[in-house]
Amino acid sequence: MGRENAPEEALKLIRSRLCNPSFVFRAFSDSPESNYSKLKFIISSSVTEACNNSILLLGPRGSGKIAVLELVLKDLLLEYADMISVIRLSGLLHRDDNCAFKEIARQLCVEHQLIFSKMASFDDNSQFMIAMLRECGLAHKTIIFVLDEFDLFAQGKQRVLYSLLDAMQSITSQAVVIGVSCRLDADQLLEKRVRSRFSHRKLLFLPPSKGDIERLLEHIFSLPIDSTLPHDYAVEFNAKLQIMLADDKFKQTVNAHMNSDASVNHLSRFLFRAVSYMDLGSGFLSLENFKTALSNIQRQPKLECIKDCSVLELYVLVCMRRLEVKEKNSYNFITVMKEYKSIHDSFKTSDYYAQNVCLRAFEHLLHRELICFTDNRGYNQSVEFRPVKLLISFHELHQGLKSYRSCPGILVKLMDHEV
Amino acid sequence: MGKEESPQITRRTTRSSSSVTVAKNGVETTKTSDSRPLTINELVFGEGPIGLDDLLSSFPGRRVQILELVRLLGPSNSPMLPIFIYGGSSTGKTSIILQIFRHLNRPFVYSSCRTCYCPRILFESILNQLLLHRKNAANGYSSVKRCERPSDFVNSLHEALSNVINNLKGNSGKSSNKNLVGWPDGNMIYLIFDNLELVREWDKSSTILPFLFNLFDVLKMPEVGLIFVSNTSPDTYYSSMGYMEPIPVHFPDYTEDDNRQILMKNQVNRKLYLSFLDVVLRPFCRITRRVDELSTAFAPLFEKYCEPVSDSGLVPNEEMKRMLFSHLQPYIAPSLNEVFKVSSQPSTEVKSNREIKQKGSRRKSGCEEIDELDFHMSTSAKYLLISAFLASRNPATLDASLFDPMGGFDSRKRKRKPSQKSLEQKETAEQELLMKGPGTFPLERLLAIFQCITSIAEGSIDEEEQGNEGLEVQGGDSKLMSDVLLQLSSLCNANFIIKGGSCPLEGLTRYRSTVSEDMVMKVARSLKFPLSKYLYRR
Repeated sequence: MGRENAPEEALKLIRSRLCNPSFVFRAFSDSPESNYSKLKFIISSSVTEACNNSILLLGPRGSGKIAVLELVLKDLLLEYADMISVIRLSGLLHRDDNCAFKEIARQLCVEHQLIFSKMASFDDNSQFMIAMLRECGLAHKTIIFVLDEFDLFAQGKQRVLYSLLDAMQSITSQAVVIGVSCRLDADQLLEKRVRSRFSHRKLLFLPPSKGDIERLLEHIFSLPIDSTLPHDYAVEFNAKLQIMLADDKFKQTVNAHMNSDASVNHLSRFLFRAVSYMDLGSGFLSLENFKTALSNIQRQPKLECIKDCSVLELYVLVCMRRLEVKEKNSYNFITVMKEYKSIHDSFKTSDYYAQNVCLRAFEHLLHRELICFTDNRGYNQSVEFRPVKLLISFHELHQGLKSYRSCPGILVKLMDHEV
Repeated sequence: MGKEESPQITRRTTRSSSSVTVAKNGVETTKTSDSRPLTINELVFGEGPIGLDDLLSSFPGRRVQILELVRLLGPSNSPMLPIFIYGGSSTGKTSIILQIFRHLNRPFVYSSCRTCYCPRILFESILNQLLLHRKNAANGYSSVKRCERPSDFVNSLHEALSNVINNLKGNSGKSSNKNLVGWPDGNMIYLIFDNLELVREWDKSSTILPFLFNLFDVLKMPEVGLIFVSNTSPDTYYSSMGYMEPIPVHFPDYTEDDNRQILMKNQVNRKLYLSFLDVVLRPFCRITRRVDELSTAFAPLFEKYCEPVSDSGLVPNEEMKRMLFSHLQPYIAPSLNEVFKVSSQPSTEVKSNREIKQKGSRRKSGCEEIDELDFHMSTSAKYLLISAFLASRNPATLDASLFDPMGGFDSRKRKRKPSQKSLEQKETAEQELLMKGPGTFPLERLLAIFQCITSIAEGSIDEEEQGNEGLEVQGGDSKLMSDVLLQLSSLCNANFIIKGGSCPLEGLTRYRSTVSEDMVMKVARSLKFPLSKYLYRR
């Protein structure tokens, strides 16, 4: 492995680590108090004791519920290879009963090398599932159902949940139902008959603490010493990494990013961006990469929109703002044009254009989503007469005007009500 | 084949068409070669690869964004998180991402949510491209799989992607020389979703949008990269169901300098065009900075600018520049007011006639054009348009007094001096009128006004012609009515009249006129119709 390729290889390695949630969350699975250990204990005990079980994994989006679950399942499949089969459903895709049972039947067929028929009806599929549960129970095989986006299954009639949990009630079946949801009150959404069949076991996935984050950073960025990478490069990289991780400014940058969203997934997106800025010439990460990534992530979308607007569009926005100040309940393009004309008459601005030009600028603003129509059903009115409203606050507009290059002075004055 | 041959037998064949029949076999062979199976190489951009410098120079002003995208895509075979590219219209998002893939020579699948206007077509288009399936006459222009639900799509997508990735791995294993032209680079495949902002308006957008954004987590395949391209920023996509945000990359609108560089590309005479841009770019950039609108507006202006210049390769000096500027100046201001208008190209005869007319009236700065309608309408359509405008504009209660069929228009009598209160009332009523816009009217009212107007107009024609064909005019009334209904539907199709809401009591449709007062003035002037006498003015 040449020295020139080493930074590229290191970059690829770190990127693949960051895109793989299982790797990221392996850092948290060491201690016995972690969710990984608890979950593993619960599932393995129900497998070995041949009993039914159900559990909910709850936590904000991106806190690693599915990742930890996959880690647990991978380890269990290594331990008890023949005794487990896994069926994965998602509330996003399989909310409909027909879809859900078809998917269960399909996965069961794939697992047990049976031929799956797409023409099977709903009843066929549900009977197949019950029969399979019975058979697997008799063969001491546990079926693990993973229900992602559990709260979406709990909307509507909850037929899928009821049939699953009901089928588990028979003596011969051995099934574990694991629900995964971002709503912390997902169990409150269940119907009475479903909730009575559901054990109230919940595992909460909390955002990581500061110590956890530091361990995570080291876990992700440390290059392995005895791999295909050149030894001295890896050692130097790790040494530089340690210096940077201990730096206060670095900690500040990471904290600034985590202030908006403290989940691990959010952090890994930040790290991904920072690592993609790594200078391949020197081959080492620097603080600048992280700072650039932070400034690119912390965007102000409305201010960017204002910077993109032309001067005429700014005039239209300022006219609309003035109409709001004058407490007109609703206004449309025609009244905005009247205001525009009155501004031109009072101040003799150089930017006075014909109505069709202003109408097009108005439509540009609609496309940029800085303004929108207030009524949804106005399809039988032309654009000029439908009432509109601003989607940008006074403060953002003011800030945007101030930072606009070559903004006409009259606009800022109009916003400040000095004239 | 028999059907195609029989017309040939009855027609007289010339020598060239008989040679076509000989070449028909050639046509057939190209057809069969058209139906050759597609290979994995189809997934790459197709034309030859370009270097990074060429890429950067062909997109002036986009250096930062191109480098950022190349870095986020990373070296070949490195996984990536989903990217979200956003920016205004015509800022180069689609073309840049496609050219970047041409530069990197990596396979990708492109689908636009504008052409694929519902989930089924979107899913099927992606699967067709991945499974290298081409729609042709042989398979009845059908897709390789019918796929409507996201769950089916995910299953099929898994299979198709695994196939493609195995294919790519096989390719890279086979070819020892990685720089073979035409072979795609790497084992990764990228899915590009363009025009994502249109998905928000689909029926099933509440499930499809989170599904697309969560696709990366659902697929769990590190060899797949997802790229979303949208006109609006990610904060306009928030829905009740969350998802992990993709990495945003912003394409700001071009600045004035960027526009100058872009417009200068591919110009024959750069110095001349540069002096032209120095004159016009700044005032036009105050209205819009979009490249497509600017280039449409500049094309006719540049022709005018070059009129006094006889030598097209001329490099202007200062004096020449001043002369050209003063020649162009009277045209700039009216052109500013017509920036977004794309005028239709008149035929060459009309153009030459108009030029002769214009040379005489150049001092009037083109106001003569404004007074004339630049499209043709039949007389009855014009009358119908005027009646629709009057019906929308005037309140219904005034019809009886305004349209006295006996021919007396006497609404201008009795002018009392208005009091203060009535003045204020007038002002608020006027505000309301401005807000509400044109009113709706039922069909009967339109037809009644139309009949009044046409009978008056024909009456005046009668007076001029001294009753030559009076009887025929009378009988022609009933024939006119069916034409009128046809005219009404064609005016509706042209969006001069739109169907408003229907009255809940009667259930009849009401119409609304959408033409502006200027346009109706032009129409009335062409008919010599006294429009102002019928307009209700408070």
